[in-house]
Amino acid sequence: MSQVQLRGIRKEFGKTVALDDFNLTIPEGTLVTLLGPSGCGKTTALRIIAGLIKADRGHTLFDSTEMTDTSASARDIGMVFQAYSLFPNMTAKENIEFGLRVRKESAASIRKKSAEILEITGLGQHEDKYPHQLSGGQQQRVALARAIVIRPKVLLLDEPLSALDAQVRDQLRDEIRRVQREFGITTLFVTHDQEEAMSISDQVGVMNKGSLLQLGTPQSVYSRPINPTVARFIGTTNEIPIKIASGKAQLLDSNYEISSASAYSPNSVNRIALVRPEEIKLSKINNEMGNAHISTISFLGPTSIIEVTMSQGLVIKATMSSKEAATFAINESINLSITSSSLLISD
Amino acid sequence: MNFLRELFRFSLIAVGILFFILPIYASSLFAFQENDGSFTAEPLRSAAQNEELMESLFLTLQIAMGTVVLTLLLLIPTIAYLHLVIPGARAWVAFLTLTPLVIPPIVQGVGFLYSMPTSFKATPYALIFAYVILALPFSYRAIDAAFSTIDIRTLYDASRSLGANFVTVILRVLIPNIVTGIFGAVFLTIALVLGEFAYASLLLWDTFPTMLAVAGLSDASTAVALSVVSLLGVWILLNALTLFNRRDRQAIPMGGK
Repeated sequence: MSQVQLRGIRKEFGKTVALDDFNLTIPEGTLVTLLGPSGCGKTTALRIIAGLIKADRGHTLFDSTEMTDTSASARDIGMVFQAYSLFPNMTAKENIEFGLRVRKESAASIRKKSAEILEITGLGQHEDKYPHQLSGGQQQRVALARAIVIRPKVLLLDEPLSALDAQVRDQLRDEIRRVQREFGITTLFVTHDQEEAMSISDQVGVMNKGSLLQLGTPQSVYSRPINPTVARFIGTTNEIPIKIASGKAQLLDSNYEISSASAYSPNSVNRIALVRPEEIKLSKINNEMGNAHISTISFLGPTSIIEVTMSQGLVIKATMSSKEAATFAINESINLSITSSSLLISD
Repeated sequence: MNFLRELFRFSLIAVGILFFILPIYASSLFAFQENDGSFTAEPLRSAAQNEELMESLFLTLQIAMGTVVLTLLLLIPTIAYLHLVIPGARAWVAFLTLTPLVIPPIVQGVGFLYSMPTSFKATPYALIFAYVILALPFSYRAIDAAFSTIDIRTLYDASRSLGANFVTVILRVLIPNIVTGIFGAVFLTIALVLGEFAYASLLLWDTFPTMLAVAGLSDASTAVALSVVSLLGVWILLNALTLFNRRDRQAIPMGGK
């Protein structure tokens, strides 16, 4: 297992800059996810680590070994692709053994390792099946087994779950995490699915327009986004117009501290506070008009989303337990407040 | 209305079948039927005893083999490279491969003769190079179509990530998945070489088709018998290809359930 580093990577495709001065460190044995919208450069970064794309500038290092000019076949990586990538002319077992055969391992070693991985991934009963006889989920499990059986220095997962239905996706996601921990493989996972990134990763890197905006634990990226772009991309965010006076954000007759990660022009008049739905608190009022009324209540099982319409017509979402949400009714007049101590402000 | 449509369709198929079957049937009667109405294999026996004819058949089979090998060696890596690296050039290359169909054989033959190194001109195996080009419109399309049915980029990247070099990827991953196209290219190339007359005649080499024409001047029934047999041979080859194609599609299609 290795620590992986990308240093000062730049990659252009024609006039499009896919990555610009891109730096990333994946600590040994951890699972790091690159998360971002389509076209943000996350797959390009993964393919540069794999050696399937050559960077225009910058370095790729496995531990302290320079890998920039090493071909993909010599990098000792395992990779699972978004598209089904099993070799159609080989059975599941033959697919799994392909990398071991290429490495010219002994027959006994190949038998032992493939039997072991088939057992770990629960694919024993499917070993003699061809790819077209396997479901999408089973094919991706075989692809994962094929990538892991060679004990790669780095495991690269390029949106491996995106073609699967929800239930299979959840199962395979858990399986990837379990196997990754069991083998302790340094892993880079690329996805545009926030939930997937949050649930599986040791660290999440949020990307946009070829740059890594923030890298941190899922909790820190969610609760302490480094700037409004990250806040908008991760989770749901209410965008509430505010005024700033005496260095404080004025909202709903209260003053709030301004988060240091805020990014706004001091000259602009109109600013936006980015507030998570779970930071919105609704309170019942007696015999007096509140500052908002409830327009919809959406039941999501353990939690519910309540949409509140402010007197100015602004709609704000609040998340709470379904038990608490059951105490409110549509069209009910309520008071709305914000529980956070400091607000993230944007232009 | 339906009846008329059915009748039209049936007539069309019947005419098509007759168009192919009648000449073969008539040739067979001419070659294998005695004056008293009985059948004989004498023309084939006499052909087998004709040493020059058999030598030309052996030479043609060798040339066919050489053409097939060179075609595959040239086309498989080239088409794989086109699909992987410069997919935008595929249309141009496909267009280029059509040139043997639009340039008259006499022009091709003379051009070929002038462009060949002198040492090659002295051997009939030089025809291999000409036939590779002549078969391009068929062989290129057969292999290119087969490559188009697989996700070559993903298979290539997956193989590379598992440590395979380019040759291993070609031999163990790509070729087994384009077998249908390869067989198509092989059968069509063999059929072309077995029937090619213009080049061999222009370049004065005694291949099977040219010797067949010569034999026809002195012993028409032997020449026709051999023509019928070679026609049936090619027909069987092409049918084998169709059957293989169908079986192959049932066995290992791409994708999942």
